[in-house]
Amino acid sequence: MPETQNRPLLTPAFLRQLEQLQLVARRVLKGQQHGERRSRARGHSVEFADFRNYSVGDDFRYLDWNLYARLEKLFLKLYEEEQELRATLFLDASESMGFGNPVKLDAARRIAAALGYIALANFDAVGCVAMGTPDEAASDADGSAPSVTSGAVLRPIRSRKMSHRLFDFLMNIHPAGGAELNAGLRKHALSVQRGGVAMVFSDLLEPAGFENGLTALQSRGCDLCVFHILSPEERSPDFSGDFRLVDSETGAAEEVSFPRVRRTVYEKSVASWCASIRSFCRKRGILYLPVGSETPFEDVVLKTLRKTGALK
Amino acid sequence: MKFLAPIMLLFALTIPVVIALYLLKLKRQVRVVSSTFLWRRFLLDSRANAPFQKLRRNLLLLLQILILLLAVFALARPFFPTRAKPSAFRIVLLDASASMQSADVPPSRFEAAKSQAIDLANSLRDTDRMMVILVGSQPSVICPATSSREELRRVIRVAQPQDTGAAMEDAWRLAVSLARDQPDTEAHLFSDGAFTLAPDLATHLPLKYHPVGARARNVGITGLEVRRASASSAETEIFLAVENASDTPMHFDAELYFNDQLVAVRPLAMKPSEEQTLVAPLNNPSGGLVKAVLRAQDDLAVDNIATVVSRPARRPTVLLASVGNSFLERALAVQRDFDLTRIAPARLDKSQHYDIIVLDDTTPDELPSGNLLLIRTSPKDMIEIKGSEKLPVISDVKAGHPLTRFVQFDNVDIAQSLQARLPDWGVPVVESKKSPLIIAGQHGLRRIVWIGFSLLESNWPLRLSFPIFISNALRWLDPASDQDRMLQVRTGQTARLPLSKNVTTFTVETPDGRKLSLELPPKAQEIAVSQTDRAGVYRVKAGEQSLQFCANLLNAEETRNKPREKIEFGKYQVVEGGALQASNLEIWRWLALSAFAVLLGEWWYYHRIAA
Repeated sequence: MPETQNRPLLTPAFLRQLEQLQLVARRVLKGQQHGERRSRARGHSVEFADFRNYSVGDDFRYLDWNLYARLEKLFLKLYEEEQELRATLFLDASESMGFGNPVKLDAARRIAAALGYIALANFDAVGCVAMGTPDEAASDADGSAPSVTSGAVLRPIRSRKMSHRLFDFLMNIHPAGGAELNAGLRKHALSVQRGGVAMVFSDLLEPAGFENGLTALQSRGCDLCVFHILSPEERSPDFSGDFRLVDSETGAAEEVSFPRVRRTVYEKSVASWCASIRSFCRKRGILYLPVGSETPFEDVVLKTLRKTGALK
Repeated sequence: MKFLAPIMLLFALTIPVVIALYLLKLKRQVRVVSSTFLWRRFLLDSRANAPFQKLRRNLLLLLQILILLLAVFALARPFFPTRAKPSAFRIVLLDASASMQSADVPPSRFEAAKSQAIDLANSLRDTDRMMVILVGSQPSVICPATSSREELRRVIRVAQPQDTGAAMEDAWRLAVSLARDQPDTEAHLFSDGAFTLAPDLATHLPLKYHPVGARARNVGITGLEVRRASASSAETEIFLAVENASDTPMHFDAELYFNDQLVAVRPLAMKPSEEQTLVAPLNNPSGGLVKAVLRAQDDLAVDNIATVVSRPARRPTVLLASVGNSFLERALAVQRDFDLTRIAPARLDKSQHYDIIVLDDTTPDELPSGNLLLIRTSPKDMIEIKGSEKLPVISDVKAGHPLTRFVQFDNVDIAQSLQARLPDWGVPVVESKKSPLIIAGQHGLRRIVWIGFSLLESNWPLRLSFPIFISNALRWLDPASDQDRMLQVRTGQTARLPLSKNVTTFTVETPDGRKLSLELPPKAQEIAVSQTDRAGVYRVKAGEQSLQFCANLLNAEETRNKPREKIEFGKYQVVEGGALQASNLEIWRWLALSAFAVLLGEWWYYHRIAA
């Protein structure tokens, strides 16, 4: 992680490129505050939506007096309400995310930073959760003093000017312990009051699974996007021989004889696992994006995400 | 493949022990990974597909198991059944006679015998020794006793057959003498059995007979001669003797050539084991080469051709120097094929040349050149006279000598004879108890017949045997017969040719085109050529003198090439042929060597992966 410390998350030039982009929500969302996105709700904006008959108690300001003059009936003009998009970034900050060359967590936070910045640039709200140790300390409501402990939460922030908080928060995440994705996602799903966009950055290397967590998030009306980040060594190990492999998170050991010729079998096993996750996500309308930690994050943001329609 | 100690294969049960030890001793490298989640999935997949995946593709373990297997195999002493007879010292008698060239066993019997002999050499143990004697016209040790199988194989491979008979008796005596004081000795004879052994052979040396040959299909020339048509005639004729040694009747042509010109063709139809003789007239004024060829499809080619040198017909001259002996004169006069001249002893001129000179009771100072019939004559440098003997009684007559052919001395009485010491040049043909009465021999270049008593002092001239003896003597003394004999030898025999001028070297061109250059001792009077292993015409050049002589097989024993399954050996013993006895070729050394090589390979591989 030294490279993370030494290098800025996003360069100014890249940030300028990101300002041209916008998050696309596949459903019309319901925000807490007015924003720049159309919602299903009728409200106060300049975009006309429909008419309806007047009923007692309606605001006279919205009566269409031109129609009353012509038809002598009271009609109320309805407008689309424009609301903010709330994006929540869930980062897996478990010990396993600190592995890989390049480090998986590094790739995760750069992509998260880019997407967060895009949302902030479009007047959307961005919150962030680092899922790790259970002793999560919530940051201040305005996000002014983010805790740098793993499992910390960044309350939603708005406006591009606040982007440095997001970046600081991301930079201060350190991998430690186990993520317990199911428990973490379920917990934060309860705290998510309204639907929005939820993005999960994880290697999904969770013995207990992650499916329940994702289902919980989806049940809160979230538009879900899973970034499955694996390092090259995890997809195709470059070592062979007889090993006693120790799990970085649990400390459990596994004895493995791994001759060079068995590498293909391993790769097939990983591919089959990824395929099962993809199948799970497709069935639930979750956008699944496998990302190699070695893939340049600019490519992920500018090419892959635009191709999938998550950005425009 | 079989095993001498199959119980040792039980050691293969140690293979699971090696695997167990391997699994126990396996040193695993500790490695911290992000998560063992994926590895558990991988192991589950692997175990489902291959229960022993840990053992698969593990070269070190496989090599160790291979070493163990090789060692177990070596302990079990596997062997391949082969043909051999173990013994400490083996003497191989390899028949290289003409009959071994028979092609009934392709390519030839000799090659088949060589192959069997090589098999025997291959079966030698490291401490065994073997010797190879090639039996041709004379036995020769081509490989002295050695333990080197490679040397034995090399020598046997280059051995060549000869166009000669087999001197098997000499070879056997040689083998017996070489086997003396050698423990555990055995002689192995590789032959077709086309020879005879004298019954008095020593038989204490164990003999194994390995017969070669498949069938008897051969006709051959057993005699070829150019001779005068009759005693009184100057005409010559070719005499040819042919034998069918096959089991079946044979039909073929016999062709006769004179100086490569065909002079006669005789179709022959011969029953099995039949002998036939052919006689063909020959107009031979100048002399030349007579060749007989049998156009027969048989197994042995060498006895189908024979050549002889035919000399021009000439009447030999005889000079009789006698004071007067009518019996002798009459006996000589009836020999019409000789030109007889009579002179008184005093008129004897040594410068005149006669083929035969008869001196009757007279001793000249110097003897003229030519062969001699001496009757009561004692030239000083030829015979030493000790005295005289009265009424000598004939006690011994050398039967089989050409002089005594059809001659009986039973009723011959002698009044007095010279008592002579037997010279080293002659043999006694007739002798009394005290001294030889008739001596015959070769003195230098001339033949001599010496009669030690006066004919007139005996009743021999009155007996029938006298003119026969005189006839025999003249024919024996006739230089032409001697030269004919010299110009035609059996293969393997030494050819002796008279030398007219003193030379120190001479060259011989053999029938197969080789040119031999040989040296002569000083003052040599004859040339001796002993390298007559090939049948055909030999051309000798000594200075300006050019000679040619013929070597022919003319050996009925070799012509009768029917392979014999047993041979008579000694007086009563019969040795039956048999294949090489079964023996075992063990290969445990190779297995042990392989195990060692694999061990080295495993060591190298271990260090390679450990580095």
